[in-house]
Amino acid sequence: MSIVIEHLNYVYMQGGPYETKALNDVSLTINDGEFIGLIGHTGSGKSTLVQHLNGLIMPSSGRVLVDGLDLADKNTDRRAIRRRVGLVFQYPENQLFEETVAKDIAFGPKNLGLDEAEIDRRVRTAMRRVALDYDQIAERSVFELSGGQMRRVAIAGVLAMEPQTLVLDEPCAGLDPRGREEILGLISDLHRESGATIVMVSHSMDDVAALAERVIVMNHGSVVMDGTPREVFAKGEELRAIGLDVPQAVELAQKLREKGFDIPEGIYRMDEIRAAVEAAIGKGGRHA
Amino acid sequence: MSNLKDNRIITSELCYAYPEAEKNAVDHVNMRVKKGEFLAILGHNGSGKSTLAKLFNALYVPSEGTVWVVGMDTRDDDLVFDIRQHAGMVFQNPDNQIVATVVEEDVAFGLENNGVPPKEIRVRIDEALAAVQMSQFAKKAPHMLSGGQKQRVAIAGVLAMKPDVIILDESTAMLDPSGRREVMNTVHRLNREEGISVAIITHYMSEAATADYMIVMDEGRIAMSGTPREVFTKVDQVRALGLDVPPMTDLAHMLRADGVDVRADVLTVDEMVEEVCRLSSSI
Repeated sequence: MSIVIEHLNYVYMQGGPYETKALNDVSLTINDGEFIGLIGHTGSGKSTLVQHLNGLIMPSSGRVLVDGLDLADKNTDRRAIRRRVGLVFQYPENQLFEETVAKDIAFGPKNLGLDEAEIDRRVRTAMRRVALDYDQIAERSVFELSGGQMRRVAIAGVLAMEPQTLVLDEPCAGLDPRGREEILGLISDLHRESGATIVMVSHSMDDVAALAERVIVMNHGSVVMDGTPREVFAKGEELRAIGLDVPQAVELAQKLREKGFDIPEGIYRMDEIRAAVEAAIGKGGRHA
Repeated sequence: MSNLKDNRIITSELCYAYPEAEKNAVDHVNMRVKKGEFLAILGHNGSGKSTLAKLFNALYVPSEGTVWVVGMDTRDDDLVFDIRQHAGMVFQNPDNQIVATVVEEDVAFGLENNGVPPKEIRVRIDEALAAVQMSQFAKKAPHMLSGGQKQRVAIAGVLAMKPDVIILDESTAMLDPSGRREVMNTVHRLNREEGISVAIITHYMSEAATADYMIVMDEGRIAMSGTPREVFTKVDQVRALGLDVPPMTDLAHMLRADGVDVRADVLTVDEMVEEVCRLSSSI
């Protein structure tokens, strides 16, 4: 399943005194099975873009095609599209509302009109995918859970719709390091095991460097970079100029090169810089 | 309490239990925030760090033990307003703590409530907005500002009260990297130039690494404390407490595992560059 975005423009409060152009001629193709990291500072248009991917916002001009179906076309079944493209908002736990964890996760499948057995299967599968123990957690109130657990319940609610594409808007925001690791681990597993297409909006360059196969950078409503992490993070100066960071491995590689060390170009992961530093130091720096 | 002068906040056997909770959320904590110090408090969710912060300015009152803010006991109801003036708090969500429709009116809010004369209010607003570099936004509507700018307005509101200590309870958690930098640069400058003590509660190891001293909470108790260099060097212990270490400390740890004789207490990229230079010249 692919998502094709053609010359997409979006204007907030069109015609009003605070008219803001949030997206400016964005063209992209999201291919089946990709893991995309979408980065950009606040107000760069990332969240506006992802809300177009399942028709929550309609383009001011341009088109969004999911599997060849135009979301703005009246004949397109938008509900069917939303089953294929699942969107996890920022702080999704704020939208939990049911009495129990299982009921909250079942809410979407129930609205699809599925039978009880199928709903139950989906709830159990979704909970397993987010590493929540059904027997222990399913009948508990969502408000008794920790912040990280609540977030996983919210993600399970989207997974229960069994989308082929999962779009997550800053899924780790506000979590502690252990919570972040859990969420990133489950997203990575989902991608690997079920082959789901992932679009992850993130402020953490280190997280994007660790997981994404393709990085898209937005600034002032436009796509300004699109490539492999290696290609994008090599442009450290340009990233900093638009208010972003680079992974620390990239920064270290660059500073060592300036000192005359022979560090290979394109390094962006910790394991790569570790090997490069060891090669640069040679045997002299090692214990006897 | 002979050392009250040198400490902005002191806790003694401090405990706090939420209503109907079986366990203490804060459990026999003894700590202090020294005059002029920049302190970081870390811990996983539920470790008690935010509860501790709320005990610092009398939002919560101890179940047992004592908190003194510049010598004032937070259990004394008559002192609550004085305590909050001396120990100002900035919260996580910028949208939940701005109350006025114009930036400078928001900064004035606390002053007006405290009956500060209008002339003095004008002076303090101007000083506070200048200190957080937001003077040019004085007449703007807060909802038009970025997250980092909103947090700086919230800090200005606290600053206008002329506090001795500012407490930031995950105040950068909802910001993007440039917003986080704005807020951290602002509080570091206030700490350095105005001598205001700062206590930050944070999940970002890189922010904690910039502090003079840090405390790691676990199960309501202090599990580790020391300078960031001392604490982060104990990589395995930090990880066992559900936290992480700065990326360069992690790299140093991995290199040492491979037999490279790099210092274990590296915190920043520049320190790592120095170490690599030192080791390669020793060949």
